[in-house]
Amino acid sequence: MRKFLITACAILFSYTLFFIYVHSKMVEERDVLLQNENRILETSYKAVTQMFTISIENYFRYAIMQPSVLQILHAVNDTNDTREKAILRGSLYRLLYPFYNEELKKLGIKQFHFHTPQGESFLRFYSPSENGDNLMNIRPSIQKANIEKQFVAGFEGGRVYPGLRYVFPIIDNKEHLGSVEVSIAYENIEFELAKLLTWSDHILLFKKSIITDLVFDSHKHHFTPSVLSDDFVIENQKISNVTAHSIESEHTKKINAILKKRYNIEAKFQEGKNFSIPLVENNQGHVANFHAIYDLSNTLTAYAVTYSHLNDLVTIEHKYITSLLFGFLTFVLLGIVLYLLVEQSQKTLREKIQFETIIEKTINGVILLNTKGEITFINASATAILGYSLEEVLGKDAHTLIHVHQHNTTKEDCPILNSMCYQRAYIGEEIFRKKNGEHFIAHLNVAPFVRDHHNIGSVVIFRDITQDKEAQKMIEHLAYYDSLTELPNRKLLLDRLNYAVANAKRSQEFCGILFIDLDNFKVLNDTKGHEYGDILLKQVAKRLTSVLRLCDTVSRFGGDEFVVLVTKLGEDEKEAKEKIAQIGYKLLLSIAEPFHLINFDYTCTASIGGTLFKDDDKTINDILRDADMAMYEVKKEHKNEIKIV
Amino acid sequence: MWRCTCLFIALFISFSLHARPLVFAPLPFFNSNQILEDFFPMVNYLEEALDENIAFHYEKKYDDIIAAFKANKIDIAYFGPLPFLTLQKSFPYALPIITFHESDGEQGYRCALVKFAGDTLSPKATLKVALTQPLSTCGYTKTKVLVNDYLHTNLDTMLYRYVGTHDEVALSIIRGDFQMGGMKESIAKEYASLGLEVIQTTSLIPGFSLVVNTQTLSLEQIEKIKSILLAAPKEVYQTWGKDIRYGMSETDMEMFRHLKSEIETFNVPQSGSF
Repeated sequence: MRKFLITACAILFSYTLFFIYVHSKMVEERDVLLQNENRILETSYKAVTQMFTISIENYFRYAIMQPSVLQILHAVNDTNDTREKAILRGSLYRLLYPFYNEELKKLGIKQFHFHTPQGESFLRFYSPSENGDNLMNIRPSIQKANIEKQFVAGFEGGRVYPGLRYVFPIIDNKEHLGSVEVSIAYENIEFELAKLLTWSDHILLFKKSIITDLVFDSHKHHFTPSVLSDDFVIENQKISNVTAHSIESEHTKKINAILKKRYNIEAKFQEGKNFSIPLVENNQGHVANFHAIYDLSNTLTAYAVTYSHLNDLVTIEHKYITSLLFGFLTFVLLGIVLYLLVEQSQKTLREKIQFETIIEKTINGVILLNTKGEITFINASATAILGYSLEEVLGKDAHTLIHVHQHNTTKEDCPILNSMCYQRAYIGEEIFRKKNGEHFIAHLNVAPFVRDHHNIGSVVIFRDITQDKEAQKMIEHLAYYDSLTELPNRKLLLDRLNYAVANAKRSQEFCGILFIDLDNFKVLNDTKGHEYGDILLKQVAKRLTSVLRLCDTVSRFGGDEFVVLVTKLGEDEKEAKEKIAQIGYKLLLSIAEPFHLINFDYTCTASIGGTLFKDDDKTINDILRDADMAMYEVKKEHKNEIKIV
Repeated sequence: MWRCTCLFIALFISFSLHARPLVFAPLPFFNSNQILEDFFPMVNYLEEALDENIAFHYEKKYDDIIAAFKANKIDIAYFGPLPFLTLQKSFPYALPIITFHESDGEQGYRCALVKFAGDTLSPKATLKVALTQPLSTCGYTKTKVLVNDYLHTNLDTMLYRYVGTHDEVALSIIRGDFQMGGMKESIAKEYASLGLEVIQTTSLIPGFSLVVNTQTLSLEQIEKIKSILLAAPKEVYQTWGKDIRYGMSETDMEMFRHLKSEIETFNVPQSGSF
């Protein structure tokens, strides 16, 4: 559970990072799209203003700055008579009306306005009866044109319409005659924008302050509050219907409702920068672009706004949702893999600990070899057996360092290395050398490491079996030799007798058996105790062994009975009989010598019965029985004698 | 049975008429924006006070407004006295309820003969006279009187043409398209700053009025409209259009009597002489 939780947390954390990354990428891509959309609006707005600028500059040069106009303006400057001024105003209207009506109006320009050098309205062609009001303090453009005598262009509020102002100072023969303004009403801007932005709805949002503060009361009804912000107004479509289509469009209303409900658009307006808001609703993409318009005093005056469909937003959203979904699936899969890896890793670690524990705690030496036969790992038992420290063996050639080759075995013949070469396990005994030069017999189990049919090393598990070998020898000795006399026991005698029977048949030489029984041994045991009897038996065994040839075998057959197997007695039976008899007498003589038993000398005799065998059909039981019967006949008659049958 | 049918028809007409918003017709105009700008505040005020939507009905000529009024497509209209009398002659359901005051506070106004101060009048035969509309009080009817008084000449012997509105009469004279013209005196004064001068005026004639259609509006509605407008505070109506911003009073039908008899003596030509 803990592992699962850790894995889940790790995946969740990773997916969160992935999500943040993907989301940032989506926002980045969407922002590029929105920037393009906003740039289109900005460029369109600039194109419109630029178009008007070029046309209006030409009009100023060729239509306004003509002698007849300048003459009237000079006359206006030169008189203080109200009636004369009125006639001059009318005359100017009469003179320029054709230009206003046929040129400017056709371009969609209504506002054509002359000002006095003092900044008073002199003649409004679009509202001729309204004049005489001072604009110097409320219209920075007029102030600048008449005081600094500079051409001024830019967006500005006004008494009648907010719009783009182009104000030219009129100077003739160094005399300042006032200024003339050709203004593009916001309606014209919207009209021209409509021609460029045919695919979108668009409106102009005006700062309420520039409308309420400047516009004549009678014109205030041109504007109506915007649904987006209390600080902004839009054209009243009941009065002027240039943007009625956009304002009343269901698309615009829908986007405005969403903007008002979901976005803090007031904060965006406060920033006063261009911005675009993407919207995805009912699987349809929309964008509302806002282009900030600043007036000549660098105050935010209006926003040009477009509402358009932008289905690329849906495409982007779908793309990243798909990425997030695939990412999620990938992370889930990764999580499963990670969980399994953690599980496997813990299992491996557990196995490693178990393996290391086994390796370290086992009494067997364990050595890992690489393909070159160099030691890459050695456990504590191995270093203890070999007497080397870890540093002294790691990286060393094992064959040279510890393997003793009785017959100068080369590496090619080394069974340990061959095990690796032939990819077969090897179990056997080899002689290893300790650091101090001492040799020992090692029982070893060599297993090659094979991966994809290639050797990658091997493991040598060994133990010192010197003591085992000695124990084995001891066991074998106890099995075939009498523990008291160190003579071959009955079992070994029977083995050798069997061998001798078979050999006698092949060699055609006689062999014989002498069955020896000590006389009165029971009396010694009974009177002096078994300790004395045992000493006697030991000493008898030594004397018998010393008398016999190397090729003969003397064994203790049981109690005080000894059996001697005599071989190589020749092919002639008579000679063989004599030879065995001679041996029997030698044995009697040797037994007849006194024995020193602890604290006294003891003299004893023995009864010996013997028999010969060669290629006849006698079994070993027949042979033993014959010798035994001969010995009993001696024992029965007079003891201390020999009888060969 | 016949009574039931009549009642059904009356109810049907009543429901049909009230299924639409109230309809207001301002002055006939050529420049929609200016006229709308003038009347929008008053209509807006009325809408809020009545809690009813009021739609604008635009026409360029009085004839068309009269036709629409008679067809019950208009509930309230802004009429000069002559168009009203013309309408009432053939449609007795037209009732003036409110008369707008002039800038000097008078309940009536004067028509004026105007010229551009910078012009010297040419011989009578070549003088061009600008008129508003055939059904405009200051149009043919009063200009004929004014020309006769000032030049002792019959207007019918001169060159005259209808230009549509009072403002257009003033501006066309300033532009030099005409040498004289007949228009409302108060409007003429607004153009004094452009050199337009009044050379002759008429006696006082009834002011412009709001005329209601008693066939489409109930008595109760009419009374409500009247009382709302008469109770409008000065600071409110001062922001209205230039022709309706100087206050109102209930229409005095007596003022129409003289004009009514006067128009019966003239046969107003429907088009200009050149």
